[in-house]
Amino acid sequence: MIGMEIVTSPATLAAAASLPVTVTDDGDAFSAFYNEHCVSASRLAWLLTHDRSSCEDISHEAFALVLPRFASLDDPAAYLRRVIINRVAERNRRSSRERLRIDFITAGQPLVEDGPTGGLIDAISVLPMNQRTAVVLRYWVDLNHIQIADAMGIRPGTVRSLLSRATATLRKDITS
Amino acid sequence: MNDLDTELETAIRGALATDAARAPRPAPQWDDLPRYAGAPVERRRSPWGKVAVIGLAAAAIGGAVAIRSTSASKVQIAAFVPAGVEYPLTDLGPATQSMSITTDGLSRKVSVPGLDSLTVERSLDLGIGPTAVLGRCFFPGTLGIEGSFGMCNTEGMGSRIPEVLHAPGISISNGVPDPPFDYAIWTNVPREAAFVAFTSGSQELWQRPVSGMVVFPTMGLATAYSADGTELARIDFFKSVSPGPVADDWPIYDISDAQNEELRLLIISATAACLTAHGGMIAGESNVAVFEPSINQIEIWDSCVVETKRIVAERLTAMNVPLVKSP
Repeated sequence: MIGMEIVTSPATLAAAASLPVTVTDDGDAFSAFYNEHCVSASRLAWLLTHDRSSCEDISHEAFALVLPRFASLDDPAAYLRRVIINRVAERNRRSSRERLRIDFITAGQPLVEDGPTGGLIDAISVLPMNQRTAVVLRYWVDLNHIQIADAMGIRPGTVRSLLSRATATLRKDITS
Repeated sequence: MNDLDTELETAIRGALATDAARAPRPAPQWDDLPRYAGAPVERRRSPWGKVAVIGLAAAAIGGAVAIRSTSASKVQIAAFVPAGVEYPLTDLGPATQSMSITTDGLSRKVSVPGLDSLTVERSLDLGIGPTAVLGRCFFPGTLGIEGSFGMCNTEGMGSRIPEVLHAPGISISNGVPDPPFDYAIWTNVPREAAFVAFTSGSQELWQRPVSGMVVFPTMGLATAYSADGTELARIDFFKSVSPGPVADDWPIYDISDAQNEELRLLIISATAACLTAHGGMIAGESNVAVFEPSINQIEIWDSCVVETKRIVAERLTAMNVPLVKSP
């Protein structure tokens, strides 16, 4: 991919991205962090996007954004989650713009899965992005309302509202 | 919580676990993690390459700000009307409901094509912390019915990550109430603006602001003009500034949902008591204080916000909940 192999100095990168430069002394710790969280990061991105190529890109970009801040983060895993959520939201907004032009819903394509949970997977995958994110963080990552609010950068009250609306939709879907 | 809810939650957990297992396998381990000063990176999905791309993209954006005055680009046009199609915004008056607690002067109900009612308000609610925080909230339709939904953006809360949700004066609803609507709300349009032009892709719309607010059906570039066509301000919903502390800077307490709810209700009751003590009238459970026009309600609101924040902070201290993360 063009532009993927650019090598530059930390100072240049830091200046361009307004990032701290302290990145080279924590390679081992970061490597361990990556190994510990790469699967869950990829799965979180997958649950939010259902797009194989972009979920891999998003999880890699998230690690790349965590890397320069790694040494200063109290909870890198929480920060990683937030970056993934933001990246997915950013991608979804770009999709929204395309959607307006071509009148095509791209967010959460149904998977048409067979099996006992297939219908519910489909129902979750077509929830609006914010609701889907809250559901995944609540029922897959197992975060409480405060932690979800922290991860999504919204209020706990909004989290309650998102979950309430999402579960109402899912309840209606499975009972019908 | 009833049995159906428990059953549903169990089913959701099961479905997500099944779905997660279908995620693509992650990239190989970084056992030879490259350094900035090291040899050229040959790995296709190098994190350093990603950082470089992100860095160069940030450089390209180069200090761009989302909101800027453009007094230099004045153009005098008689009977100015922006290009494109009007996307009308209809004023339905002050809010009749609040997501938390607000006043008639801090809220507005409007409608746009495809959405009969959208309430936008500045209100006080429980935020991350948990503390009483001001925010801009909006909700379509009527609260309190099944499936009703609202969203708030905390004022002064920033982000280290470019994130439009945190930009001042902007609210984005992502898929609210349903796709494909992603309402983009600009709440601090200059008062002297007569029109706001909006472009998204090839689509051109324009709108007359209501109470310093415009609402468009997706994100794009919005430009405010005076009646004679003078450009007053411009905002790009895809770019953002990120002022204020980020989520990392907020304290996190190990607080239960019940305690959280208690604090939320305390914010509403304390603020309502303060507003009514200063002449506000709150009808039923609307949580919207209505003031006589002669009263300076903003001054009252500001003082009540300070008072409520103090009360909530005291109650949080009395709860003695453990602090799990310091800012």
